[in-house]
Parts: sequence; structure tokens; C-alpha cells
Amino acid sequence: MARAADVMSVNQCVDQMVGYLAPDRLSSVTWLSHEQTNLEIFPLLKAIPANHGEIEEVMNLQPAMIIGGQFGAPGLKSLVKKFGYDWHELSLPQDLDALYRNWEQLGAWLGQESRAHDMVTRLQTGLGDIQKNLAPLNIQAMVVNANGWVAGNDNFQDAYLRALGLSNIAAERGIQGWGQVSLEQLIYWQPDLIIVPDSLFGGQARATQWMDHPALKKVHSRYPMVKVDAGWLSCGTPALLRAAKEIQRHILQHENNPSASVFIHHVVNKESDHVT
Amino acid sequence: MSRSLLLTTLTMGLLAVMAVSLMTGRGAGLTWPGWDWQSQLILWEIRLPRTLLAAICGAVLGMAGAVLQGWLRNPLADPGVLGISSMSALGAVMAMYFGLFTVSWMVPLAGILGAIAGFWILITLIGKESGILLIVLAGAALNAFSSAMTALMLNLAPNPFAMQDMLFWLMGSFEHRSLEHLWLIALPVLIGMTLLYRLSPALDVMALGEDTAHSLGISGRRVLWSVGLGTALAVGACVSVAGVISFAGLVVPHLLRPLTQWQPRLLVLPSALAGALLLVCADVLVRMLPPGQELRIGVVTALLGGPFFLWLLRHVRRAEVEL
Repeated sequence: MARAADVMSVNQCVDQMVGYLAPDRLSSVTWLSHEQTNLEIFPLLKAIPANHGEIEEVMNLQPAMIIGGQFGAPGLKSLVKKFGYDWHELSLPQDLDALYRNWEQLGAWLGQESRAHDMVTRLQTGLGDIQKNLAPLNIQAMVVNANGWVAGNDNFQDAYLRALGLSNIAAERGIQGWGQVSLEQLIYWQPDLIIVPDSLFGGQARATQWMDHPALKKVHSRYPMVKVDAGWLSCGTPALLRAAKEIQRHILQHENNPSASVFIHHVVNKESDHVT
Repeated sequence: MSRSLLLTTLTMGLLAVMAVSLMTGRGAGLTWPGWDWQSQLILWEIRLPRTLLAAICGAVLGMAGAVLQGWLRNPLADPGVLGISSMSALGAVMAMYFGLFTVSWMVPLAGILGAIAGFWILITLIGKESGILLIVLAGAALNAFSSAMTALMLNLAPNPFAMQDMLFWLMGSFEHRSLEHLWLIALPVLIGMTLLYRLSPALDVMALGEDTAHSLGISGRRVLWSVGLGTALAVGACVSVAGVISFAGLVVPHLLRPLTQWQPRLLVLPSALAGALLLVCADVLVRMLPPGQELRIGVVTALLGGPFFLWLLRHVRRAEVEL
């Protein structure tokens, strides 16, 4: 018999992960999960009441377990402990092994070890298959986030690129952790592929718009720039795998058809992979 | 200093800093651009639009500052101080982030409409005959309100990255601007600056007071329209592509006044050139600072203009007491 909804999540990625492992246990998710996204898990999370990480909400819900992330809600963490609630915390993964450990850990807390194990296997297999296809192509790629922030060594996005069989040009150029690139640097570095996490919903923002600068359109790169929904890359869920498949599809499509005239490829297909 | 010498010096200075700006790269410092395709692309597609936009917006702010100061007979007037720039930013933000307009030229149009609204609120509520400090206080209130509304709009914007743009709109920048932005604002800036420049002969007469100017054949209503429309077109267009850059229009006319025989008419053109010079210099400076997130250009102008404004305020107060 399914247990009552008794888990409160105060972290957006935890919302999604619990949504995959034990959706019936979720009594409350963060308000961020109610914002329109292109995620497969979105309708499920949208149907669960939202919280803003306030202690009053915790006391009202009386959850058996509160799960948060390593960063964020620091004020809540101390208050929750003071009032004697059961607080659990997932660390921020900087590589894929840490992400897999998070899944296993969450599975243990929720009593869903086998589902967590299946999820890890699914992610490992999916990324491994893509790596086999892309690694022989020797592609120098980089992920350029809003306002030119790029991932260097010791960063999850760097680990993700390597897991796809791509080499991270930002890390090769000496960037550690997070760094910022200018348009001029991008032109000199000339990566084979630029991946831009973008919001595919709502209006414009200058923070991402600068990647549409006409100068970049005149750079002849091996593959056109690809825009991927930022929501797909922000948490280590099957959406990450979906993004990887889209990046692979984009690369293979232009590998076979290098004269394709499309410069920017928007990934707008609805996620369709189901796990649970 | 004779007028021709002043104009020549400012023009030469402007051309020199524009050349420096073309040779200045973000993080790369001052280097002679090579002939390879990457350097040439950077030169023509990134540095040239940025330099031209800084020069044009500087010229607009300098000229608008000189005209507003002459027309209001108020040494503290400037599009930024009076809240016209921040109202314009509010207009542009509303257009850009809420998809009200999907065509690119609608953002400058919204910026211009915001500037017109700001000018209209200021003049109809306070009146141009109010005391110096009253107008400035009204401007401060308008500034605070429109900046808060801009922050609110960015907060409510559907795009999750909108909040990251707050600094741009409040402090201004020429980073990542392209020739498209230049073409987008060319026409309104040209019309706005022509309207403002054509006013310069009337400014000397306006300095004698509205009644005297009227008796000498100057139509107050026509001047009001020219100042309002000219400022809104030029400043509104610039703000919509570069954000709010405060104090540039305040400082420049003051520095030049002793060199132009304290005649408002003679101040307009040199102020435009010096405004351009100031912003191109400031834009070179922000690119020469150590790597990391680029400093907003409005920070540089405010660091210069803030203390200058306070000094001016004290100076004006003392002059009022002595009168």
C-alpha cells in the first residue's frame, strides 16, 4: 500500500528527483516547479502544492521528512532542525558519480532503492551509448550559459560534456570552476560546437540574447550553435539524457549534412522519455 | 579659448579615443588589430558598433544636458537626474520582456514613449518655472519610481534570465552591441539631435526669462515641444539599446561652460562632442579593467558625476543664499 504524502521538498532538483522515485510521497514542491517548463515531470509537480521554503509552511504541513539541497534555504535548515523536523540534504554534484550517489542516497531515504538503481543504470547506459557515438568525432565543444558564463574544470557541465564524448574547450583554455567569456574570446577559441542553455518559454532576455550577435553568425564553426532548454540541463534527471540525445541528433544531422544552412537549431521537441 | 579651437580639440580628442577604443579588447588590453579574419571580424562587428554607439549616446546625453540646463535655467538638469532616462528604460523593459512587441524596432519606440511620459510628468506636475531644487527633487522621485518599476517588471518577466539584466538597465553598458542596434536608433537620434541643435540660438534668449523671450519672438510652446520631443527621441532611443547612463549629461556642460563664454547657445555642440569623448573613454576603461564580469559604464559615469553633483548642489545653494 502506498504511503501517505509526507515528504516536503525545498529544492527544485529534489522536486524532480522525488517526482521520479516516489511521486506519491511528495506533499509539497518548491514554487519554482510550478513555473511553466518543457519537462516531462512538470504536469506531475504542478499538481502538488507549492512552498516557498518558509518555516510556517513546514509547521502547517508537518512532513515526516524535508529534503533540500546543499545550498539554498540556509535559514530554513537551521529552523527546521531547531523545531525537530527530519532534515535531509543532497550535495551539489560536481560530476556524474556524485549525481549517481545522490540518486542512490535519495532512493535509500525514500525506500525506493531499486527505482534509484534503475535510474542510475538508465542514465549511465544512455550517456554511455552517446559517448560511443560522439567520442570518435573529436569535437571541441562548450556550454555558454546566460551572460557568457562557461564551465571549466571541476564543474558538472564539464563532466557532462565529457560524458557525451565531447572535449570542453573552456577547461582546455584553463578555466576552473565557472568563468566568463566575451564575444571576442569566443571568436578566437572557435569551438566546433556551442551549446546554449536557453529559456524556450516567455519573452526575451539580454542575458541570452547576446549569443545571437551577428559576429558569431559569421564564424564558420564545424556545427551550428544549438540552443537547449536550460531546464533540461539544470538537474540530473532523464531530461539531462533527453538534452544529450538532442545534442547528439544535432551533431549527427550536421555531420552528415554539413552544408545545412540553419545556423541556430532550437530544441523544442517535447520530452517523451518516461522512466517510472 | 576660441570656439573653433575648442571644437577642433574636442573632435581630435574624440577621434583619438575612438581609435584607442577600436584597439581595446575585453581582457586583451590595447593591441594593434591583426589582418587575420578573427581580428578583422572583431574589429568591424564588435568593436566598431560598440565605439560608435558609445560616441552617439555620449553626444546625445551631452547635448540633451546642455539644452535642458539652458532651457530650465537649472544647472542640475540632465536626462538621468530628471528621471527621463529611467522612464525610458521602463518603457523598453516593458516592451522587451513581455512580448508586447515582437518587432525589434518596437523596443526603441517603447523607450521613446517612456521618455515622453517622463518628460510630460515632470513638466505638467512641476512646471518649468519651479525652483531649481524642486525640479531636481521631482526628478529624484521619478527616478526612484521608474527604477523600482523596472526592477519589478524584470522580476515578473516570464524569462528566467530576465533578473540578470537588471544591472544593464539600471547602469547601462555597450557590451555585445551590434551594427543592428546602431541602425535601429540612427533615425530617432538624428531627428532628436537636429531638434535639440536647432534650439541652441533660442537658449541665449531663454536665459533672460520666459517673458523676455516671448517679447523677443520666441514661442515658449514651440520650444517646449522641441525640447520634449528632441530629448525623448534621442535619449529614449539610446537608453533602449544601452540602458541608463547617468550624470554624463550633467558633468559635460559644466566643464565646458567656462570655455564657451557662459553662453548657452555656444555650449550645445561642444557638449555633444565632449559627451561622446567622455563615454568612449569610460567604455575603454571598463574594458581595460581586470577580467571577470565587465563593469557597467554607468558605474564609471556615476563615480565621476556623483561627487560632482554634490559639489554643484552645494555651489548652487550658496549662490541662492547670496542672491
